Amino acid sequence: MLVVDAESNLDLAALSRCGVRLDTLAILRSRGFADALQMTTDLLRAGFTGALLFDRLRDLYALADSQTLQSLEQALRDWGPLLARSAATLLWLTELSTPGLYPDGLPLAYAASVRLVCERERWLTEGQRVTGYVSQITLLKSRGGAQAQSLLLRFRTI
Amino acid sequence: MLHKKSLPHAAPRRIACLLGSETVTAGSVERLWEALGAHTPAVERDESLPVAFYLDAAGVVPRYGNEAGWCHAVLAEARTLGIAKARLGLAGCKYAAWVAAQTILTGQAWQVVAESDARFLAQLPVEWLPLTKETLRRLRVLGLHTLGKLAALPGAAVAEQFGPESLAAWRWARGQDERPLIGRRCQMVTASHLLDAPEARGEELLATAVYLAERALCDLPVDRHAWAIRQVGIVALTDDGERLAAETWLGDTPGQETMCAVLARLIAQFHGEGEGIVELTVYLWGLEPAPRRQLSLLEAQETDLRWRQVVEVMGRRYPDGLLRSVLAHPEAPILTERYALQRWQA
Repeated sequence: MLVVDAESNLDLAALSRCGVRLDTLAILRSRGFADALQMTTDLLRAGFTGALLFDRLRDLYALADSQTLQSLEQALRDWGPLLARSAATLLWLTELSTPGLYPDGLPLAYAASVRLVCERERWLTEGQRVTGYVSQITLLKSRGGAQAQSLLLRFRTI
Repeated sequence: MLHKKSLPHAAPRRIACLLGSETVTAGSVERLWEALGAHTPAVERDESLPVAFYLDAAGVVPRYGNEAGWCHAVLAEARTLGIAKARLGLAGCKYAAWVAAQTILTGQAWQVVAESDARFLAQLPVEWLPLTKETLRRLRVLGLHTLGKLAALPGAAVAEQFGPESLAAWRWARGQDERPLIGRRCQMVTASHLLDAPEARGEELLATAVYLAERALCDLPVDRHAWAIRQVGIVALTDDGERLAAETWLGDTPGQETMCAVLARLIAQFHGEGEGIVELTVYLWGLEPAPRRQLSLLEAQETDLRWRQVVEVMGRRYPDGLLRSVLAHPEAPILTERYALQRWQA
């Protein structure tokens, strides 16, 4: 598992509390969004295999900057053939300013094979203390799979 | 009067742990694995112990009358296959079932945990948990001598005091071991050949064995490369009625050359007997679905060579960008101070 940390704010403690095995985790920390795109391209060209998590794109940030949007479109064009002939899976996190409303202007929705929307439904508590949360995961798009199905996942953070 | 119909509840988990302490042959363990499949929908072997299986025991009552009846049937199966001192623990989760199997009273062979797992575990010492020596020492210093006392603590306090890595053990102490039972069925394929005349020549016997192995592999229900073979054995009958047997570990799905070399070594053991062999049987055991072969993504991910190449390329291109997390200060009181990022060097 490799994480492209586009915002340089990966929280190791939170990952650890969620059960992520840090000893098997590699991180590519970028100096900005464009740098993160280039790192991802280089990784795929280098023959990376496995799960690659791009963390993350904020929709308003991308829509407000035409240069960013162009870079993203170019990167998606480059990645298509690279991903098609590799054994890598690219997981892309997009943070939406309006939950549940994906902006039309972002090209990711068209490029992705599978799209999931994750919405925090409620907090888990023990007494006064928040111990985690429950997220609803809904399948928006899938090639050959049933769509609009959803499930609840419980994340324990402590 | 209207009665509100309640939603059906999911059936509670019931998991059994079967332990055997005897030194038994790998073939016997594989045969037990296969036989257990007749009593449960899912059997998972714990490879870290010589003889250890987890069995799905939910829903066995209608067929066996009660859980005790099921335990008798499973233990009888184990005894039939030569595992005389088998012990069986049955509880609501894997950890409690394992503890139940370990704490059976002398003179008995099984223990069914009828109460909640948390209550069953509460009085046991914390040494039953898979914790480091340092964590166990700190538990004792704090007066937390039993699983019940540890379980009574809030999770946040456990994480802060003993680190997040101890939370799994804390959940186990609360009877909340949520590890799934990953059922796999052991399978065995065989092929036999009755020779026209007693044969003592090693080359001829090897050629027959290779042919039989190929024929056995052809009996697999799916693509043979999607299965992992663990064990191979040969049984030979001599012209004076003696039964010769040899088996060995084979590992993953072998190529033809590997199979040939392994069979040759087994045949060589018979060749020294100097007797004519009239019948040869090849057994292949442990043909379980091998997910890592079916999902080439994961197989590739675990290829160290490829990973090292990628790290080397990325490390050259982004010397300060490729990082790995390390547990830098395990004793740090604040969680976020325990981990640090370091440059990843190939």
